[in-house]
Amino acid sequence: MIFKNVDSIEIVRLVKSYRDLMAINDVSLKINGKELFVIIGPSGCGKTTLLKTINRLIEPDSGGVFINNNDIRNLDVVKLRKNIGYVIQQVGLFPHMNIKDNISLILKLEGWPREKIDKRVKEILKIVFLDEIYLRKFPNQLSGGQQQRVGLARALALNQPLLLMDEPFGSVDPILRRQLQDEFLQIKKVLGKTIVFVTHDIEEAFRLGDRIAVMKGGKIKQIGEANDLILNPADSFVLNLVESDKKYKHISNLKVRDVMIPVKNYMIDSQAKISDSIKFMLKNNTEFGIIVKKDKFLGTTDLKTLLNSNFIKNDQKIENLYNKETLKFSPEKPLYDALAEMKKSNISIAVILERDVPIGTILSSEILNRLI
Amino acid sequence: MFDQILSSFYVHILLTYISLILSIVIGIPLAVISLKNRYIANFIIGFCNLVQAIPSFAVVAIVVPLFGIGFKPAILAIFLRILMPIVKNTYDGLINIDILVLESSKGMGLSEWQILRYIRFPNAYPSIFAGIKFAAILSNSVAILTAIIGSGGLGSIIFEGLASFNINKILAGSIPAILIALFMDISFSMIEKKFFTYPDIINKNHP
Repeated sequence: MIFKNVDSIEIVRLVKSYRDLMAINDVSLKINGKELFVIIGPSGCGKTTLLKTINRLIEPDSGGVFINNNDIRNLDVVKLRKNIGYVIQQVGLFPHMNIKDNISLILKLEGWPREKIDKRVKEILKIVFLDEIYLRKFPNQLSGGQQQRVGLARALALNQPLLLMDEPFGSVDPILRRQLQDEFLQIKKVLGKTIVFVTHDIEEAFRLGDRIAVMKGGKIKQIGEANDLILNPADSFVLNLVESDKKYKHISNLKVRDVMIPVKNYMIDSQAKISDSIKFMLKNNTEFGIIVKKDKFLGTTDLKTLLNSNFIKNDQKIENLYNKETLKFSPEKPLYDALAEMKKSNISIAVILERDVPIGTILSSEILNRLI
Repeated sequence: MFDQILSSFYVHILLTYISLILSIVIGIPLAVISLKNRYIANFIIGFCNLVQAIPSFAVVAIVVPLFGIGFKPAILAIFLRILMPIVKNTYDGLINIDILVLESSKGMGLSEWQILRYIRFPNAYPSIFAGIKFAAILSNSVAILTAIIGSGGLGSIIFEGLASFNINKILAGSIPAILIALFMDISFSMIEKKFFTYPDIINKNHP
């Protein structure tokens, strides 16, 4: 392996054109180690071309790709590709080999002994949720979903630190796609690999991606997490794309009241001792508390601050140690504005007050997850 | 009479198989070279097509002014005549590979040579074998014709029989030739089945 881990992939001023068509028009971006980076865009936007420059199936006209700060042009192309798992939509299994040979060909060529190969093949099958009875079958005896699992297994064989996936779930029906995505999320947790994932499906991008790059006409329109795209779309194209996921269409109609969560488990009386507050928060499995004085809102606190306070020596009342700076919303405030405000001030928790009485709270990350 | 048939039979077998082996040994590498370079491909395939278009009889005849008569020029004539199906079928088999299979094998880090060895050739076997089988049968029939340039073999018995209208001689030459053709067809089918066939699903289009 050239890379044991992939800590960063930097794409710098990449240009690729086919005659007069600019497939990639001056794209620069950075992918972090162990992240699932989604590239999304309509067909012909250059997303697949961009992906293929990473394993050098396509060589750019200018600009470069750097993995762990190594210019990949200086690496042996075959060795580079052995470090990168590659999964494509139509799978591209070898039709003349059975499933076992499909998965283990690369191991055989790497000179692994037979027992080690057998062991590894069984390991990978478990990872991709495929039964061993399929090992002797041939690709066209398998269903689309099973083929896709084999394709993934084949790409994982050498335990490559980087995985490139080009619309891997694009050709299966929606129900199976959902199932494969769920499985893939589990697989991703197990593997801890850096993954670059191309799709045209915004829902898939939201479900899987740690960060998402939106491409159009060979250019990057926006890069960010799901909530960045939803709350701060860079332009009308990103906005349309985001809203094409039906679940977001109603976000503009929602009020804070519709999504807030009850505060009973967060309420701490101002007269409580710090140690009791910590116990209360641990008991309710929260990291955040709302301090009230005679039911009226006073401020907020969080577990970290309390633990860092000198409470063992000086177990004072909580009213001496709380945060006054906090976001307070009325229940009738539009959710969209509330989320935008939270995003802007970089505070992930807000308290909903009605006549100074806390009636609910919202956590921006939790809301987005619920909506996605 | 029987001795003559036996020795002609022996010469005929030599003619047929030497030229066949020669054309396999040279034809398959030519196809591989063609795969790597489009200009060479155009040249080689063009040449093979040209020879193919010339009638067998003319190929045999044209060898004479260049290389004289006898056993060796006859081998050359047969070789030229049967090279085409082997090169063409091998080339077609190697180049007609699912582009996605090719892409995924490249993407997983196979070298050009490994792709040839493990992906292209196995996919091309049915086509290559069809070419070899056809070449073998063609080789057998051209070997009859080369008797007129003094190669010997079963053709000389047939031509003698035809010249003197001796039906026994005609049959004594042609029946063994037919048997050789049948034997070749059956033996190649068996070899293919034994060593180079995957479950019959390979011939279907995989989804």
